[in-house]
Amino acid sequence: MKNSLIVLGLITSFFIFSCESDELSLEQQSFLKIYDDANYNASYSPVGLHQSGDNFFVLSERRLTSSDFSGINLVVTDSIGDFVNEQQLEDNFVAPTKSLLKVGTSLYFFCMDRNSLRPYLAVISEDSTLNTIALNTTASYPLAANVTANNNLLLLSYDPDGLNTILTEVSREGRILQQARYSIGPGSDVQDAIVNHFTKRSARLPFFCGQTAGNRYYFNGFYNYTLSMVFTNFGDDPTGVLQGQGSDAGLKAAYSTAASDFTIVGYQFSDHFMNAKTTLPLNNISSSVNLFDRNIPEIAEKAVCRIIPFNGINRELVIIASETEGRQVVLYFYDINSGQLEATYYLGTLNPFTLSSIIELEDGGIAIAGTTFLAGRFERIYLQKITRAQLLEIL
Amino acid sequence: MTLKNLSKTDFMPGAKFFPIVLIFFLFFTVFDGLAQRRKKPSTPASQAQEFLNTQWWLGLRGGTNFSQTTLIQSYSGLNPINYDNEDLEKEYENFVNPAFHIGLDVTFYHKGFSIMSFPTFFRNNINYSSELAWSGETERDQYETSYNVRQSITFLELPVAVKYDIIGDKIRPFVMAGAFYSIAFDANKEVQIFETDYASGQPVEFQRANIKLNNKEEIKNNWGVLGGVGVSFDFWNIRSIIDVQYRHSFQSIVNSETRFDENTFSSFGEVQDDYSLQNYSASLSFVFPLRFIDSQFKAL
Repeated sequence: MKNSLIVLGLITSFFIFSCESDELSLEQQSFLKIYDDANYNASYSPVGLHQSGDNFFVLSERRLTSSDFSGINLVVTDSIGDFVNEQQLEDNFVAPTKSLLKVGTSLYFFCMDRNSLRPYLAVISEDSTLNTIALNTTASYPLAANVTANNNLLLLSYDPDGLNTILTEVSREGRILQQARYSIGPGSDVQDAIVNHFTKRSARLPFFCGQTAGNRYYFNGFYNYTLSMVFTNFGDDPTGVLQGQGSDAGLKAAYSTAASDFTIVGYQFSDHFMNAKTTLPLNNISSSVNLFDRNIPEIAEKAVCRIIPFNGINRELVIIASETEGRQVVLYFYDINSGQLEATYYLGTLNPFTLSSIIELEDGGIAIAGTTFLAGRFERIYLQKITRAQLLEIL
Repeated sequence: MTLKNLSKTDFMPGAKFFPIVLIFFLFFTVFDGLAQRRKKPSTPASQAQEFLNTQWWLGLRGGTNFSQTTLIQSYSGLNPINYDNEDLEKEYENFVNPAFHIGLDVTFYHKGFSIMSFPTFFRNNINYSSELAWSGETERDQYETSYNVRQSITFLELPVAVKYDIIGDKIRPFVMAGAFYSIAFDANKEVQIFETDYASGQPVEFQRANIKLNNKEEIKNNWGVLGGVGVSFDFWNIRSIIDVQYRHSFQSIVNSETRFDENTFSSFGEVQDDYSLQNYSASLSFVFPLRFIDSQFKAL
């Protein structure tokens, strides 16, 4: 009987000690959410992602029957990725820049009026209110945008009348602060490529712009017939140029880690190369071909590439995100200082996944937005959060 | 360089070793009692009386069971933009897919009452399905997808129950009641994806994929209460027991921390609801007396 009591005591104590530890709050958990639309003909193509307050904002393009340009949607979710609301801008607003910029608690992107081709600045407040401000500049196609070191906005655009690539610094209220124009060169080839960038998804080009850690401005756009990475102080001529090869070669993404040091992803026809630590020609002319060292065959030919910083434990990292031939999204984790690859992670399995945006979150995690194809055919937005704990586990 | 897929680490690391310790103690206490009796032989008459009044039984147990689920909270990996969340709710099939269980039966009997434990590998089979539909401006702009899910979960169940033999000697009907704690041991999920295309106006159905993967990280430990009735038969030196039991748990067995993790299933919107388990089982046990075994190893 004594032994029986021991057994009973053991079992009882097991029940007591088996009480489970506190679970993580929903905000601390990772998630993958897909936003479905029951309309057979609906198609969403996210181009920008950011977090403000307790919400995620996904800027998305949508098909328009009235124009070859893409219309604009804004999908808002809560902090755990649950759908909150969707806003559709009027059909006259088209061609959003391919990123959502955050300054303070407001989010910004540029778009244009499809009739006048006049660029607009769109401002999204923390409560999801969206306002548009017409820019006082000539007609131009918005190509890319970024935030400057002094929290103004940088707009890269194309002037179809003057055949110029235009770099403009814009205040958050929509005032033009400074502007520089660089000729794309004579002829219609480049012009066709730029128009196709807006109207054919398969012909998208990797336009981007920004400011280096040393405050030099740069843009990846057409300059003198070639898709080049151009460095400038808003002077009449660039200070340095990394030339591509028409639209067949050049850079797809660059992230400034020091005055002239960058993490880059480049392409040469269908091949891709990447370097986590390389020096770019801020004050002279060079060619992207010189940076090609080895092909990364898994990256798809028309893949989108993005680079963001990630603060690891006792080391500075960058995450290079791209798309694979297997229609997955791939994340490469590189050490900025050593330039070494630290880890690789893949997203997506049965249905294809594409990349649009990747952002670093305030809690140290990352969020990724792109498209997946439900039933293999319905293009829908996905939003994935990976927590900081999971990222450290990957590393 | 490392190449990993994300997965949650197992929780309750100490619980992994506890069943081993528990089983060790059970055997230790049983054989300890046996050894002590061997040191003190007594007369056949008193042995028979003690046998009737107080006895340890140990044996094997197995059977079949049917599960049902009680929905606590519905979830989907899809967020509808322009239709109701209710359209994504799953339909559960109850008591349709039998599963099996096997384990030990350890019983301490004393004057009509028994305290028993039957550590068991207990599998629960759960079936559910969900549907998606898209439609456009014409009848041909229609498309449907259905996910048919078979979820099997194997728990290492550690029950404690009290049994009362109502009447009898060789044939003993009994009632029992107790509680159980279940450690998630293994889980596998199979999703059959069927699609229906109306491209020609008429529905054409086809199977797009059949995916079966381990998903133990989505399941957490469980506990609940149980009750049952049965009858035991004694012949030779074996006691055979047939019983029918009902198990009822109150809380979700789904791990909410991994529900929306990126994996093959969530990549097409299939995630688990929160649900609790109820289960009917029928079992057959063969148990042997562990005390008062004579030189021919027969119970007195």
